Amino acid sequence: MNITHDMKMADVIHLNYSLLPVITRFNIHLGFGDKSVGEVCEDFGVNLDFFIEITNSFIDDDYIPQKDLNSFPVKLIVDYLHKTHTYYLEEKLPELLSMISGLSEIFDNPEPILLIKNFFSEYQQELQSHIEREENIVHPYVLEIEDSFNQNSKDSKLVEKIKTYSINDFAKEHDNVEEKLYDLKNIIIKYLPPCKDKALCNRFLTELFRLEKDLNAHAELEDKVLIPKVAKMEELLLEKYTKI
Amino acid sequence: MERLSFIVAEKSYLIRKGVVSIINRIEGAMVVKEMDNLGSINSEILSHNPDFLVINPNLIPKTEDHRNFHIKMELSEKVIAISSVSPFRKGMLSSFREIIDLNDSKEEIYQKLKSVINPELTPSANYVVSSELSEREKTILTHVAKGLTNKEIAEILFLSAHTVITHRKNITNKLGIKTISGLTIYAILNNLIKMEEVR
Repeated sequence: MNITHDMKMADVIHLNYSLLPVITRFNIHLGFGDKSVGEVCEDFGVNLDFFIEITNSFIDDDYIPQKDLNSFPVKLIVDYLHKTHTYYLEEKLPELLSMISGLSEIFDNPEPILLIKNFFSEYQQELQSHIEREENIVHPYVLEIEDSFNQNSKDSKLVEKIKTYSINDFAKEHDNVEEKLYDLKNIIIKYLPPCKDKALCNRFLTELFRLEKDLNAHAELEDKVLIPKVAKMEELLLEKYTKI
Repeated sequence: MERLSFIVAEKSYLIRKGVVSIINRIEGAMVVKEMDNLGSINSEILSHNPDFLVINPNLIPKTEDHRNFHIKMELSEKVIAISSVSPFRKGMLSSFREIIDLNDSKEEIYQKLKSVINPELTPSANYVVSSELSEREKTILTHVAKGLTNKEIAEILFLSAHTVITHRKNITNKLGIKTISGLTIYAILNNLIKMEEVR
């Protein structure tokens, strides 16, 4: 069932609680009473159409966008991506790290958990540098493109930039941060020796699955919406300013 | 019994969902990935290591010989085509293991898939995919975990670099671990090397 503007926000959560971190990302607080999705979005100053597209595609892989995602401003998309980054760095990673320290107490042999700890910190560094690159290089660049596109003013520096480093180069460099996460899941599922606290192992694994799902939705938004949209703008800018 | 996994690549949503729904209803079979184009087919094959690939040959770019796809899939017996090509042109499709015709009934598709899945019904196909590492693979994994490059491993074991790469692909497929650090952890957990030997 799709999420619509006239549904009660409380029902949206009942329908799919995995949306909780997504709702937080929009700065929406719990305690909505019987307000509809539309009313809650208005209360918190959230773009309703964007909210509906993001939440629906998060819960349903086969969701068919009702609004053309290309119609949303780059800034709106980048803001959202930025908030998910913050969520990974400030909530998810610390949470997983504290679980790992808990894990080290439940194995007789400290070796496996030490290995996992090191592996996870490698993963953490990869994810961090990936995010830093996006926030310091890619996002400022795409915002610049959008600005120039809207202002209709010729910026020859930017035109040069597009020629040397376009969004498609960024897409190509888009590294595989998900590989380590995939490995970590498999190591735990298939190869970890028995431990005393099965519940903690399960919680850790569950959180890894959640993180993976979130990262996939994040990558999807970048690959299917942001990159094609910016590529189109680049193309139009080049067309316009290299002819004159 | 292990589940047999399928990747289904078909552009048409209706056809794809139909094929997927039939496969998922076959006992012991499941679709692990649906694709509407072949953009990332090889990385999907690597990460899911499917037992079978169901593909619409029209998705294969004209420039690319479809045999190349077979090589990447390792065994052409694993590739099933979805096709609407009329019977007299089916010669073109002979390199596929089986052909699902768009006009096939549910029963026909079911029987075709069943016969592909059950090797005893088709004596020609006789392959068992084991997830145990061979001795050679264990040796190579040990060297990988110690941080050696493919070239170095090839020199030590008197193999071609190409052979080492093939072994490494098989190791990754069998274990479900892609990164070197991940493989190292596996090697230590399974006593193939000691922690001190790393790097």
